[in-house]
Amino acid sequence: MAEPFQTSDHKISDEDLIEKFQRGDLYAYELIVKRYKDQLLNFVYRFLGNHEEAEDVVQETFLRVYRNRHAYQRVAKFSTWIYTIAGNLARTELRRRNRRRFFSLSSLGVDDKEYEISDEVLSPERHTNTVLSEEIIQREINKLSPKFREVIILRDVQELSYEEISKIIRVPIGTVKSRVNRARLRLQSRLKHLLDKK
Amino acid sequence: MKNCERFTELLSDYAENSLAPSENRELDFHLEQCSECRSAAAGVVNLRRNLHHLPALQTSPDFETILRARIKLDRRTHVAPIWNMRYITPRRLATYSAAAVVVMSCVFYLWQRLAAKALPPSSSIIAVSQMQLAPNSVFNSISPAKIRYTLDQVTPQLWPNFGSTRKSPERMVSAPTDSSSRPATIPVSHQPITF
Repeated sequence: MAEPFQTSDHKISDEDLIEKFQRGDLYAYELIVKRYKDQLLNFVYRFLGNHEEAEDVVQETFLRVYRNRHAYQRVAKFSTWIYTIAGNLARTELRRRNRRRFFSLSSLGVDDKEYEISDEVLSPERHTNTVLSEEIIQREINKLSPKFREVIILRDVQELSYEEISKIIRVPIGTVKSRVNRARLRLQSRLKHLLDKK
Repeated sequence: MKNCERFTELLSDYAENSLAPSENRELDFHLEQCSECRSAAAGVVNLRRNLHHLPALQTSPDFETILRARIKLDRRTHVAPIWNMRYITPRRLATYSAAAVVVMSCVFYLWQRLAAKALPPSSSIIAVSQMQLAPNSVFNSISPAKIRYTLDQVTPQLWPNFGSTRKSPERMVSAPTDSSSRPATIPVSHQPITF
């Protein structure tokens, strides 16, 4: 990773980069990391709602790409492949976290009521007229079920096409569209009081 | 309203401007009349805008340093499975295995055919066995006293003593010997005899 990131490198497609990496070019791998680290962090962070965990999942994603570089075949888009890996790891992390939470809650006694998670009360001053408070939106996204959460992030935050989302999560396009619609309706009804102010 | 459920299914496409013109007109007409759907449609459009403008996060400055260290550690500890090698994918492995089975079957079939052709016909075996052995034949070194035959391959005349008391499929049968007049003829029936 010693070489500087050159602007001409932007012209090389992801698929060409991974092919170079498959032939042993480590610089190509570095370019892939630079291209995707922030995109993936945003996707995983919106899915998990925790920056540290998200960064760890993204690290693991790149490690898997490094380890399994020869498993990639050019029939699919590289972005689809890497998003699939990140999505799978994020889902696994979410399940692990839920298990941890279940065990830690079940180990609490009757007198441990103060452990209950309470919703953070945000002052109205923190809401701007142009963009809703990120925390509120994130909290509402976290309340969606993982299957709705994943599609709405991929569609509305990452702005991927329905076709690509369908390939990433391996469900038909019709199902993706239906999930996106339901997720949007759910989210807008929960954020209605804030959206109406705008 | 009765049509609300149908129209809410179209709200996403409406917000993305991807409805067919006829459906768009229909929905517009409905939205003019239904305040609830109008509010939902406005909410979805607004939500999309807000999600799109969520602040983009960036990885920590030491992200790549940590990643490099993890890769280094992983290379020391992790042993890549065989299908991670470039030219050995699970699908290819299955194809190669199937091809190997086909080739082996063909080889086995050809070998069987060739072996069958190489065997002499049964008549020639009889002819050979009925030949008089030459004085210096290797068969003369075989003890004439006892030669193991398979009972089924010896004619009944050769084992009259056993008659119907045949108990086991294979017995020791004394071959007729004539020590005074060598070379001897090995008596056989028309059945092939095997040593």
